[in-house]
Amino acid sequence: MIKKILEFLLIDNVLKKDVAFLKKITLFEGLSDRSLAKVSLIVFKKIYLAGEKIYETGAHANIIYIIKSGKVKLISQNFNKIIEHGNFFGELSLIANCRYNCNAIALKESELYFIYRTKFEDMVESNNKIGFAVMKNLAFMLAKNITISNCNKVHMK
Amino acid sequence: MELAKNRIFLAAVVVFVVICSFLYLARDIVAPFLIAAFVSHLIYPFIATIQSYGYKRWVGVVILAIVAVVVLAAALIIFIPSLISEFEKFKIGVSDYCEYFSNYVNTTKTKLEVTVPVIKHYDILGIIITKIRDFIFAGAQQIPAYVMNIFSIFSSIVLIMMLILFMLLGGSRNLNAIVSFFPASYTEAVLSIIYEIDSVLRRFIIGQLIETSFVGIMSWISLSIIGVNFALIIGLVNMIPYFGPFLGLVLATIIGVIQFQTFTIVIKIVISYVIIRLLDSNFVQPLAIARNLNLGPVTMAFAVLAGWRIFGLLGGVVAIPVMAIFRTIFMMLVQRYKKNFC
Repeated sequence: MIKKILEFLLIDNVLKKDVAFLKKITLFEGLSDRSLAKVSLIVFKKIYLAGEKIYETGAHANIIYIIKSGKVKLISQNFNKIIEHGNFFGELSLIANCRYNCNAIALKESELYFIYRTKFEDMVESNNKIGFAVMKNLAFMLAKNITISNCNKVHMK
Repeated sequence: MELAKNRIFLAAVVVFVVICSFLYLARDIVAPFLIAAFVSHLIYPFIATIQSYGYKRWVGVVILAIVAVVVLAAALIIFIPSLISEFEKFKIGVSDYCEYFSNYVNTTKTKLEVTVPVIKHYDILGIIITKIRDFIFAGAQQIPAYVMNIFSIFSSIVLIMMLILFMLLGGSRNLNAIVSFFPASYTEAVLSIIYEIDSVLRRFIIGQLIETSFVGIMSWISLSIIGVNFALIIGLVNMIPYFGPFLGLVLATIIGVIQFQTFTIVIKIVISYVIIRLLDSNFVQPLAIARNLNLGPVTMAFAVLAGWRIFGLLGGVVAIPVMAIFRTIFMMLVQRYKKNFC
C-alpha cells in the first residue's frame, strides 16, 4: 500500500509510458531505459487534426517527427507515402541543415512527438552514447533504403 | 506567396520592436524575471538527470533545493568568517591607506611646488586635490543609496527564488502555454526560436560560470601566495563578468603597492595574472569553447557598453546573451528566406 502511494507520488508514469513507446522505435534501438528517458524529456508533443498540414515542401527541416498515434501522408511530385503510429519522418533534419522535400498532412487525428535538432544536439553533447546509437541506427536505415532502391539485395544484418 | 512572406516578416519585426519597447519601459521589474530564467536554465540539466531515473519533476526540484541550501550553508560557514575578517582588516586598513596616501600627496605636492614654482603660484595642485576630494565625497554620499539598494536586492532574492521554483516546476507546461498562444502552423517556427534561445542561454551561462569561477579562485590563490591583503575580496571582484579581471588587477596593484611600499609587487601581481590568463586560455577556454556564442570582440564590447548605458549594471551583464539571441533569431530569419534545398 505504502509502496503504491510512494510510486504514485514519486514516479512519473507519463515518462514511463513514453519510454516504453520510444523503445519500439527503430531509431532508438539499443538505447537503455535511462537514455530513452533522456530522449523523452526533450520531446515536444502535439496533436494534429485530420487534414491539418504538418509542414510543406521547402520548409526548414529542424524536427524529426515520431507518430505516437494516427496516420500521416507524405506527398511530393515523386512519391506518395502513408505512415502510421510507431514510425517517424523528417529524420534527415538530425544530420543535415536542409529543407523538407515533401508535404506532410495528418490523415486523421494524430499525436506527434517532435525532437528538435538543437535540443538533440545539446543532449548528445553530454551523452555521446545516445548520439552514437541514434546515428548508427539512422545510418543503417539509410543504407538499407539505398540498397533497396538500387535493387541490390545485400544482406544487411 | 512572396507578399505573404514579406507581411509575415514585417509582422515579426513589429512584434519584436513592441516586445523590446515593453522590456525597456518595464526594465525596473524585468531584472528578477531575467535572473530567475537564467538560474533555472542553469539548474534544469540537474533536474532532468534526476527525472531520467523515472522520478517526477517536483522530486528533482526538491532534491536540488535541499542540495542548494546545504551547499550555500556550507559555503557561508566556510567563507563568511574569513570574509568578515577580511572586511574588518579592510576597514582598519582603509584609514591607514588614506593616511599614507594623504602624506604621500602632501610630500609630492611640496616637492613639485619647489621644483616648478608656477604650480604654487596658481595653486594647480590645490585645485586638483579639491576636485578629487569632491569626487570622492560625492561617491561617499551615494553609499546610503547603495546600502538601500542592497536591501532591495535581498527582497528581490526572495522573489527570484519563488520565480525559479515556478519556472522549474512548470517545465514543459510553460512551453506548451507559449506555443499554444500562436496559430498551429507556426508551431515549428516558435519552437525553433525558443529552443535556439534556450541553447544559446545555456551555453552562455555554463561558459561564464566556468570562466569566472576559474579566474576568481585562481586569483584568490595566487594573491594569497604572494601575500597581498584582501585576496578573497579581490578574488570575488575578479568574478564580476567582463570587467572583473581588470578591476581585480587594479585593486590588487593599489593594495599591493601600499602594503609592500615597493613596485616589485606589481611585477609579481602582473606575472600571476599573466599565468592565470595563460591557463585560462589554454585549459579552461577549450572546455568552454563549445559554449562559444560566435560573437566577435568588438560586437561583445559594443553590446556590453550599450547594455550598461541603457539598462545599467544588469544590462551590461545580460547584453552578450541578448545579443547572441538577436543574432540567432536574425540567422534563423535569413535561413528561412534562403532557397536552397538539400
